[in-house]
Amino acid sequence: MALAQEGDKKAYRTLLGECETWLKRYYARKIGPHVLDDLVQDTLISLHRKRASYDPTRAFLPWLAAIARYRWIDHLRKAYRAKEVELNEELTADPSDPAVEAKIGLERLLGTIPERQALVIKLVKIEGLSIAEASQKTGQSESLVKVNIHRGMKRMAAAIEEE
Amino acid sequence: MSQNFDLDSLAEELEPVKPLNANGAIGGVVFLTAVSGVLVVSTLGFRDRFLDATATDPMFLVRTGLLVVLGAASLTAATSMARPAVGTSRSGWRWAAMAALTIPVAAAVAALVSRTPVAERLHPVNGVECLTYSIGIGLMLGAVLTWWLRRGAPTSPERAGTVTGLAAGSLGALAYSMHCPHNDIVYIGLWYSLAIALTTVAGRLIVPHLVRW
Repeated sequence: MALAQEGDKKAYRTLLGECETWLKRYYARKIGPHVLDDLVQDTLISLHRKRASYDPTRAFLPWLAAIARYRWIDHLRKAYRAKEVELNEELTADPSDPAVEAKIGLERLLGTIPERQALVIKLVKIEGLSIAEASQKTGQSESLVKVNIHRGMKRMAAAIEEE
Repeated sequence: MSQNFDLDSLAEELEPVKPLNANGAIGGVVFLTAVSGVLVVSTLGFRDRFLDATATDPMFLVRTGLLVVLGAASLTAATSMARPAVGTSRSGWRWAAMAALTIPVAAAVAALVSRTPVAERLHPVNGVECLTYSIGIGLMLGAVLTWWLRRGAPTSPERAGTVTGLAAGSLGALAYSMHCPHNDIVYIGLWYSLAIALTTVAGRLIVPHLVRW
């Protein structure tokens, strides 16, 4: 990335390719599979636009993960209406690298919020269930499901840079 | 295929960028604060020129010290938010803000037990002047900080806004404080706190819209 900041196109192209692979794994099972490619692409564009914000004296992955988490939450908010109900299990990619997951992964971010909030976010925002279905499955009332999604998203947005 | 094409064209578009350097932003804001302080002193006069107000009054020293610490803590937090990374903790400004809160709390207690009527201790005419200058200088500093944050990638626009407003307000108040001849805790507790609170709220409300990405 430091080379890319200096304008090395070849190094940058290689980096983008690697980031694409990394992000696909990073986001796997954490977003509806039909929007995974969109999200990866959006994140790469953000990386491109905000490349000056990377500090070349520091590690690269924590920076990439912060951008990836920011775009992820942004997408979860948007995906609310445009979701599809079916979830194609085959499309979900490999599980993420356990070492990464332990520190900077999305599961870790979901772990910063109360279980009841994380659960409904997973059901509605990631798996694409309707509010009513999530309400049935969890026993929370429909309005409570909505409140918990809202609160959980807000808390996660505030905790993006937390480990 | 289209995905590959995308990455190639992104790489093709690459222009060299200079990594954001927070020291530059900090230096710029500190410099502008100093310039504002000098302008305040040269146009309105240093507090030394007024009766009962010297450069060594304990209240003046305490408030200057608190404003410097609050300004420094919130300024470093705000500027570092331009460069995100998971695992970064920037909560120092909260502690500085809590320390500074002792001033309005002490002022409220002092006002409650005051023998002279509180209205006489507030000098609203001076107070409004204090607000105008502190907030005016703060707005300029806040604009510079917001411009800096726009170039970066703050992951929490709301928090970035709050901290930007806090930094702008405390440094604006610091610059004006060089003139302010008042030593009364009740006066300082009301007007200074109000100026900083207003810029903080303004930062929280306005800045997020400008720094989203």
